[in-house]
Amino acid sequence: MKKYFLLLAFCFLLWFAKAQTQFFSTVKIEFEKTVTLQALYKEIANGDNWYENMKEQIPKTSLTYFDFIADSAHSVYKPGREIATNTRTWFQPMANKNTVYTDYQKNTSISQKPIYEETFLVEDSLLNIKWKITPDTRNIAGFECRKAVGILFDTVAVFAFYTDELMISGGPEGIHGLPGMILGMGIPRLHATWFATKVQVVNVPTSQIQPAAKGKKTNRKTMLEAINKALKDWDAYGRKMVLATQI
Amino acid sequence: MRKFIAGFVFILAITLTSHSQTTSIKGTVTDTVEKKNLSNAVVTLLRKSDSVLVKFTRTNANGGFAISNIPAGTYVIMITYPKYADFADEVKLTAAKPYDLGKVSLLTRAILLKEVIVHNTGAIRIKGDTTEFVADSFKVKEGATVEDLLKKLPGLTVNSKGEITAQGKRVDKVLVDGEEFFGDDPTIATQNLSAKVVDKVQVFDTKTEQDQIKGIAGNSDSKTINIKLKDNAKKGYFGKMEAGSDFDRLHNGKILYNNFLGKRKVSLFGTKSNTSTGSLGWEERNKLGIDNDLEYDEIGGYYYSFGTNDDFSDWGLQGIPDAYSAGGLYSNKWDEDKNNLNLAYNYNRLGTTNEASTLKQTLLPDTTFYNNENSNTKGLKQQHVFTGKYEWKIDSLTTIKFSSVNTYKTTETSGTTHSEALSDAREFVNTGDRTNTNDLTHKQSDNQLNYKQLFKKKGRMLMTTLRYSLINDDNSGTLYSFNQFFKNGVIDSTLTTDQYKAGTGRSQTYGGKITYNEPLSTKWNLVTEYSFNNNNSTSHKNTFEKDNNDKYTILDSFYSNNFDLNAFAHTGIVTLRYLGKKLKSVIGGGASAVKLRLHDLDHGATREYNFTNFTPQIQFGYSIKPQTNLSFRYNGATRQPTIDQLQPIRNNNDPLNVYIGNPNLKVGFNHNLNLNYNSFQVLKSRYMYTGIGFNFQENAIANFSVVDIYGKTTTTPINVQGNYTYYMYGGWVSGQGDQKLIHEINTNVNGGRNITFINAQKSINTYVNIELNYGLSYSLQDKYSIRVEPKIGRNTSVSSLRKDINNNYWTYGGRAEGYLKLFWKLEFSSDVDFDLRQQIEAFESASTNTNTNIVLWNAELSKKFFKDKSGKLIFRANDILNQNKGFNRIINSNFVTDQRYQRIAQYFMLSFQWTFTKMPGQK
Repeated sequence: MKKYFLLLAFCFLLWFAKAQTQFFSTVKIEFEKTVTLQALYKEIANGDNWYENMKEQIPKTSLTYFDFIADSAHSVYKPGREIATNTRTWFQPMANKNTVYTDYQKNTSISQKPIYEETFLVEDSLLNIKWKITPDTRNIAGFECRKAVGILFDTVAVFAFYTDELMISGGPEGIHGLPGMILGMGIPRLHATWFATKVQVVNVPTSQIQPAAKGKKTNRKTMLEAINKALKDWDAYGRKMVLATQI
Repeated sequence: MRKFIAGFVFILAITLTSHSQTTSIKGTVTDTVEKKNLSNAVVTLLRKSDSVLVKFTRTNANGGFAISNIPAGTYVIMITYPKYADFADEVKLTAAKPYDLGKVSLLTRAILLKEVIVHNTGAIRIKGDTTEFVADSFKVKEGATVEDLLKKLPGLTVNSKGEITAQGKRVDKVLVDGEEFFGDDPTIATQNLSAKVVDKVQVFDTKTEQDQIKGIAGNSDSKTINIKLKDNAKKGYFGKMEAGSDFDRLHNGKILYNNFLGKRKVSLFGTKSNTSTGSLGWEERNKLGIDNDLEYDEIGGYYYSFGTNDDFSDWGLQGIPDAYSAGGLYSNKWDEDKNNLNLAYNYNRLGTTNEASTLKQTLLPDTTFYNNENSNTKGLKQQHVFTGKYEWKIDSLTTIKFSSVNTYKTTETSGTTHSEALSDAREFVNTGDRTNTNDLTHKQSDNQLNYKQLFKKKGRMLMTTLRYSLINDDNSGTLYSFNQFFKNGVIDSTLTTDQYKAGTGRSQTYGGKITYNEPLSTKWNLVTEYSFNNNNSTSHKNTFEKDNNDKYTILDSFYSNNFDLNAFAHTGIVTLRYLGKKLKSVIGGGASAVKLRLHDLDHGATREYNFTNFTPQIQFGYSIKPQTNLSFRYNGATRQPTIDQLQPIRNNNDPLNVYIGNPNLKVGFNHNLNLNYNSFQVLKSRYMYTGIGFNFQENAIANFSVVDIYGKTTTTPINVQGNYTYYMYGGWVSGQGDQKLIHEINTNVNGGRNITFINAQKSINTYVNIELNYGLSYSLQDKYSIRVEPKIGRNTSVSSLRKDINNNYWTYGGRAEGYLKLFWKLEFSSDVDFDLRQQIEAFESASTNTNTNIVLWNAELSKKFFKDKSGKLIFRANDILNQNKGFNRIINSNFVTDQRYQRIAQYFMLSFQWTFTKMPGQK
């Protein structure tokens, strides 16, 4: 019965796509997060020659997957499928287990962020991002996306590609505030990119849009203080780590 | 849908509450051709001055939109709809005056003809599917970016958005020297790099990783650009120079230099030292890329290093050194890193002079006796090591590696020793004076060929290793000794030995190993391994006495030994490995058959030994939560006796201590158990670790010694049962950061039981040593730091032979160190080590009763020079209290040994250091 319905939905979709541009207000997206490790370590090394010696042993990239499920009112971004990790690397991925629930109507988010031994449950308003819209476009996962450049915390640049066709104002992690859904994003400071690899617009399991419940309740400022206290002495690596927990 | 828009209006309302003078804008969006109203079109309001997004909305079902609460000002209103051209118009909004944009008609996108620019100049090469442009052939203006350069290249177009089209196909990847510059956005690389540093631009079809593995290019619809940088943009160097002197007898110097150009590295170094062996420290070796022999065990999943345990490390240094070292390294990679060559040469020269003494008292149930020894030795060791490594990655699945290590080493030693043995009543039992000289030449070559084959199935791997090594040893030496033996304190007899000893050793080993790894599932792996090893060696050790012409020609067959040895071993290992998210485990074991064939050339006798060795192992690692791990390990291993232990070779280098092998030794077996726990709470800055281990030996080998009435000791190895050792350790660290107390507690326990035979009497010794220390530190970065670490320890031991003797004692002391930054870039640091020991009864009655407390105090004052602080002048006061005697004391319930040797103690040295560096990209 379900299969039959799916087929019907698919035919309907085909017919619809031919007829006119479709807009969707529910979506399930798989994001692939890529961290360019060699570039990240080169920057952390800051001219120290350990990088030149170690770089052969550093893998080029680290990949993690996330699922983003949304309707127009709220969304959840959570860890997706797991892939075999490269046991060779001593690199510990930063912020790869976050679950971010965003309520677009109340302008709040509840983010579960496991950071070392602590799991924080951060309840706060949405991030304030200053977006500049550019005329550039590119196609991501079959959607035409427009490039926007955002400025976070007055200093951190976020490159985002969003599509008008998905009527959700969200993106990976806590990045939001564009007229459409972000399907591609890059934060040069973290040497990280997020790109949609799968986009599903029918049969979206919207019942899964739930905030995480476990964790130490806090707000963004208190969490930052706790992390800063521990990571301040870690120099460049610590600063990257702190930023990775803040987006 | 309405809800959604309402939500956004709400958000924006919050962000803009500070503006009281607001206005609004409305309009309708339609399609030009079909004259149809467009719903869901995005209407965005951008601030004109910096195009920052201010507000956005979507059109309703009738194509209408309205945005209110807009602060007055000049805006760009942008209306977008998929597959339609964007509409953008400037609007000036004045307060309290709603603006009506009216009807906006959008155009479907028209296809634009692209302008084609043709250049006639320039060097262009086509290799296979790659088109290569030589950057300097295309003129660009000063300060131009790579994007400007690309615009000039024929067949390449760059549009206003920075998107590149090459040969009619879209460019989706821009690499810099074969590496992705940043993510997937090609413009980051093209807009940020200067055109001046570019050597070549290569354009080829984008291949997926799978295509690359298969070696077949798929039908790609996109292109990749690789920007090759000029070599001088990859140039760099760094180095260090150091010179120091006490303006008397101590002179130190050091030069390190490393130069790299892209992937080619050249390092050179030279040192001279009178205070250490002159060997480079780990950090320096690592920096120069020497010894960078970190290898990855694909199967075990860890990195390991062979490590060179040579005679030139500071650890074993005894005596006063005069050391030199020099070396160089060349490494290069080419053909996209497929070829990797590494050549290194290392020279060490270490001369030492040493005055040493050993005082020993042996406590037996019926008697006590004393052995005292004083020696003066001189040694000179020289070593040349040449290392070569070559790796060839034939394709992404196949790698061949060859490595060769060649050593040439000479050791010259000479020394005189005076010894005396005293009875219970402190009467002489024997005395001896001997002079030894020995020259040894050691040549060794180890060669290894590796072949690694991966397969399309992930994790499947075949590894083959072939090894071949050669060792040639030649040594010659003289022994002159004069011994007097006493009876009741009166000379009874004397013995004079005047001998020449010559020896040669030749050894040839070849072996092979095949390892195959088969992934059974994503988590289970089966590893099987087979190896064989064949060693043929010949040893000639001959001792000659003087003939009538004062020449050493008469063979002393008692102390001569000539034999051939063949050792052949087959080994098979099967291991099952599980790698889960939380649990990791390895279970497996190996068995090997070893055959030793010993042919005694002097007597024509042949002896064969067959051993079967087993090595079971079990290992578990469990990650309770991130940064908290529990692990357990069991290792079993057969312990085969060494050839020296089996062979009845007599050695009289020290005529008063003779060692004789035992051909009837049985193989032993070692059980090793080990449990570890560690937990690191990063945010709380708390680290805790603890571990416990137990080692039990079956058929352990102990020394059976007999002392005759003249105090001459003869030692033979025999099997004993019931030896074990154990250890426990634990630590806890808490705190981090400036001006905070950091606490640290560490504890160490080790103990065990061992069996020895002292003058044919069995002694079972049980011992426990416990040490506890507590560290406290406080610092302010770049200003000061202080750390104190008191410690206390207790050493207890009981011997079955002398249960009445209590040789238990306390040790205490610790360490204190401090650092202070002063005015004029001056820095002061100092450290003190206290090593204090409780006086015990045995010492008080013995001749070894001397104060063994050592307080070692060092201080250093330094000043940094130059703008970049690259120069440093150091004044060092080493061992200010002049107490650093080389000292070693072993206290047991049966014997007390006190060993002293010479060491550089107090000195004051002035030295200057200069470091220089230039990294690629730096000015």
